[in-house]
Amino acid sequence: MLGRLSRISIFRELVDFVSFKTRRRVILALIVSSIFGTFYWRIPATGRWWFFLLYLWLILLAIVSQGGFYLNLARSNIGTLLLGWRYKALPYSSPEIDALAAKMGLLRRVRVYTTGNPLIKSAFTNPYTAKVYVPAVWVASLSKSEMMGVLGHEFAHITQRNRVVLEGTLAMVLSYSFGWTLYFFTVMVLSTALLQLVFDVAPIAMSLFLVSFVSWRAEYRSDKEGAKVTGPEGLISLFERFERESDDGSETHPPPSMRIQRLEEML
Amino acid sequence: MKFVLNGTAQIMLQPARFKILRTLREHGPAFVDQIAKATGVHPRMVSHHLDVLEEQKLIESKYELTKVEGSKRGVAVRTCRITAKAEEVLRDIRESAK
Repeated sequence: MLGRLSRISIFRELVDFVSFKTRRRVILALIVSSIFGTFYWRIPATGRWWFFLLYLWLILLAIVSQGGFYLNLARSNIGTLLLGWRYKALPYSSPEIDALAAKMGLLRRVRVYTTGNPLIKSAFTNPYTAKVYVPAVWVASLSKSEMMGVLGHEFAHITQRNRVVLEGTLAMVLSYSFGWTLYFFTVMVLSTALLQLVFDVAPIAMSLFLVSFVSWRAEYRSDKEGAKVTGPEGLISLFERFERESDDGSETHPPPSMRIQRLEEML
Repeated sequence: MKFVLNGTAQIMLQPARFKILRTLREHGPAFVDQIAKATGVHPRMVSHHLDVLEEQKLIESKYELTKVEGSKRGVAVRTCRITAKAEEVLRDIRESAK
C-alpha cells in the first residue's frame, strides 16, 4: 500500500514540476526540436539555418529559465561570504529546539544560528556541517509553532541528505545517458550525423531540469518529514504568509500553494 | 509603532489569523467550528491560530457548555473573543501604513 502511494506521489510531483510556469512548453519544444534535429542533414540548406537558430534559442531559453537555480545559489553564497564578517551568526537555542532535535535523532549534532545578513532571506541548512541558519527577522516575526515548523523542515534536510545525494547522482547519470542515447540512436540506427550542438547541450539542459526536480522533491520530503514531528500547522501557516507575499516558487522550491496542499492532507 | 516593531503585528497579519480576528470582531464571540465555517479555514488550523493569538494575548478563550445541532446533550466548546490589545495592534498597523 505504502509502496503504491509513493509511486503515485512521484508521478504527482513530476506533473506538478512539469506544469510550473513555462516549463511544460520549454520541455515540449526541446523534445520536438531534438527529434527534428535528428534529421538535420536531410533538411534543405535554408531550413537547416533556421532550425539552427531556433534550436539555439530554445537551448538558451531552457538554460536561462533553469539557470535561476545556480544564480540563486551563487547570490546567497557570495552574500554570505562577503557580508559574513559584518553580520556574525549568533547561536540560537531553546529547550523546544533541543527536544525537536532529539526527536529527529539530531541532538548535539545540529547547531542553529540566527543571522542579520540582509541577503539571507530565508532559512537554509548545510546538511554536511549540520548547521542551520535562520534570518533574525524570522525569529522576531514568526510564531513559536511556525519557527518549529521551519526548524523541523531544515532538520529533515539533514536526516534526508543521503537520499538527495543519491537522487542527484541518478539525475546526472540519467541526463548523460539521455545525451548518449541520442548520439547512438542517430549514429548507429539512423546512420546520420546529428547536429553537434544537440550532443553538447541536450545533457546540460536535461541535467538542469532533473537537478531542479530533485530539489523540488527534497523540499516536499522535508516538509513531510518535519511535519510528522512538529505537526503540519506551523508550516502551513508560514506558507500562507509566503503566498500572500506573492512568492510563486522557484527552480529549487515548489510554490507555497502546492506545499500547502500536500501538508493539508496531513491534517 | 510598538506592536509593528516587536513582531506582534506580523504575527497578527498572517492571512488566516487576520481572517479569524476579523470574524471575531464582526460577529462577536465564537467557537472553533463556527469560526471554521465562517472563514473557510480547516478546524485544526483554526485551533492552531487561536493558540497563537491567545499566546500573544490578542484573544481570550474559555471552555463553555453549549447545545449544538445533532447533539442532545451540551458539549464543551472553546469560546473565543477579541481583546483590547488586538484593537490596539490594529490601530497601530493602520497608523504605520499611513
